[in-house]
Amino acid sequence: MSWETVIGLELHVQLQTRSKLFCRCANAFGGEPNSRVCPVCAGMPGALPVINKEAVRLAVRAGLAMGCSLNLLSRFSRKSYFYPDLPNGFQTSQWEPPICGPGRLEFETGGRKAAARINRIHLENDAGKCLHEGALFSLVDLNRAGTPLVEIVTEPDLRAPEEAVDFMRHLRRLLVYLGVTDGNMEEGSLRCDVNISLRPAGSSSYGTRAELKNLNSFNSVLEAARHEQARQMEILESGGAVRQETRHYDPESGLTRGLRSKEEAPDYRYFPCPDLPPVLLEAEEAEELRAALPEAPDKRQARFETELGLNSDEAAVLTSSPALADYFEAALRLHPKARRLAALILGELLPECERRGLRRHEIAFGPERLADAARAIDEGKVSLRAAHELFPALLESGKGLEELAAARGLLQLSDSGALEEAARAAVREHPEEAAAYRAGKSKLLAFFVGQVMKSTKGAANPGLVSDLLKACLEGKENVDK
Amino acid sequence: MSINKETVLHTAGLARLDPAAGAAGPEAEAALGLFAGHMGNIIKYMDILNQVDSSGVEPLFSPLSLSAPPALDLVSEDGGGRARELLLANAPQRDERGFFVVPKVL
Repeated sequence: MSWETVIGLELHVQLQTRSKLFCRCANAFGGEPNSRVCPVCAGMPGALPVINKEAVRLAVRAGLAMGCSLNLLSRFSRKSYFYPDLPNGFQTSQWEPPICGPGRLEFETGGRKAAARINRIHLENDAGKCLHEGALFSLVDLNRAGTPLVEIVTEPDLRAPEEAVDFMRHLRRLLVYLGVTDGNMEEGSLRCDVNISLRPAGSSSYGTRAELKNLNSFNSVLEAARHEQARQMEILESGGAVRQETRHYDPESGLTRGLRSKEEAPDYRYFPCPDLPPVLLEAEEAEELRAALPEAPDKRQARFETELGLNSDEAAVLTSSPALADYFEAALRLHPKARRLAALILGELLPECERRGLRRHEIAFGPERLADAARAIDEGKVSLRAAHELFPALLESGKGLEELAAARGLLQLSDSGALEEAARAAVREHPEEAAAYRAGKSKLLAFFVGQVMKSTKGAANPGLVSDLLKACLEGKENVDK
Repeated sequence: MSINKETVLHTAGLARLDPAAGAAGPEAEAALGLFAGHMGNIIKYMDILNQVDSSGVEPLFSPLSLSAPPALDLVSEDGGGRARELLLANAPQRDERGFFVVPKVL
């Protein structure tokens, strides 16, 4: 029998706010244990939570980008369970209604378009962290407790482990682009539960699913889902039944093992949180957020490729953030040579930023200066080599590329009078090579170009030199004149 | 609705409580019976609400006013560091690095 894999995801995404969801402790990663903790996020009795406005806005932004309906009134509930990293004894999470309702996200997988429906997006707080050192004790750090999360729940619309990962990559890119999350998976900013089941191909009902908890890399999602798919297939092929349970993926062995069956799963006893009034979103504000939503990064990338002739690598880097894409387009309005600008950004500007450990916007080099540098190159005033050499100085000096090149004697010679003389001299000084060229060894042109570049100390415009030499060698010019 | 002993055990288990307080045999049975009675009485008491005609009444989720201003996304002056020693001082056990130390969990 052939089987169809059915996958739905629950993604936990840490929101990029300054402070936590319900208190004003800093929302950051790492640090000394328990150094960003207050009575609210430590779950002290009587401490009152207050919702962070920015977390609400980011959740709405995420929802809008996935075409979700918005609930202008949403509520928090208490989800009870006991674990030392959860100091309250409950997670404060949205049950009904969540901030965002159903939506749909299109993505690309295996070279074709696919889509997954979104069931809901809700806000909740993250737990702290437990470290299991030694045999007798566990260590608890509450720095992460109270970090704002959105949980994004998809419908079971994904049909293969690879497809699930492609969806996740697409989602991560979108949310990073929108500034919703930093997307740092090593630091746990994006974690995923995978619900997976198999059904006979062509069947319209779902099989019994297993849930793979807390996967925090694309690779572990892929490996865990592939392993689980094979495990279930083996059970089904041999006439057995899959148990509905939560399974843990061990990256060391690449295997999953059962944690608890859902029959014994904790009864979360959700009830409305008495400490938090409902989250109210003004229709006007929702509209503002909708209007402020930028063009999606994949659409913008496609536009850069088809309309501007950039290759997909170039276009992908340029659309890695809205700021960089805006910067590129601002320069493009001033100097409409997309490939030249892309080459300067990717080949010079970004590597230079990286060397300095700075982000693009932290360097005072506006789009007008980039366009100006590109123009100096395109007009043949500065060679690519000189531009490369001058780029660090360009970022530091506040001067233009042409001005810098002039000051350092690196201006490219495009003055055909001076170059003509140098070309003639090169031909005159190498009569044997000239004769060989004329006899058909056209490769020798490069030799002559080299001679002229040498005599002009690299300042000549090679394209122009090449043209002048051809004219010279092919007898349209009198060398001995 | 009456509460049986299984429900008592299940509910207690969710809260990591041992209603028999370590006892076994008839003593444990007696404790479970006692709590089943208590819990049944609570449910019975709440059932009085069902005698009231509440059709057309919106559920009250909270006695608080419908809205409260959200907080701006600002970090407190100390970023949450000031309470560290006070909070750690509350813990039955801590270590020198500033972790709370709890019985082993997995």
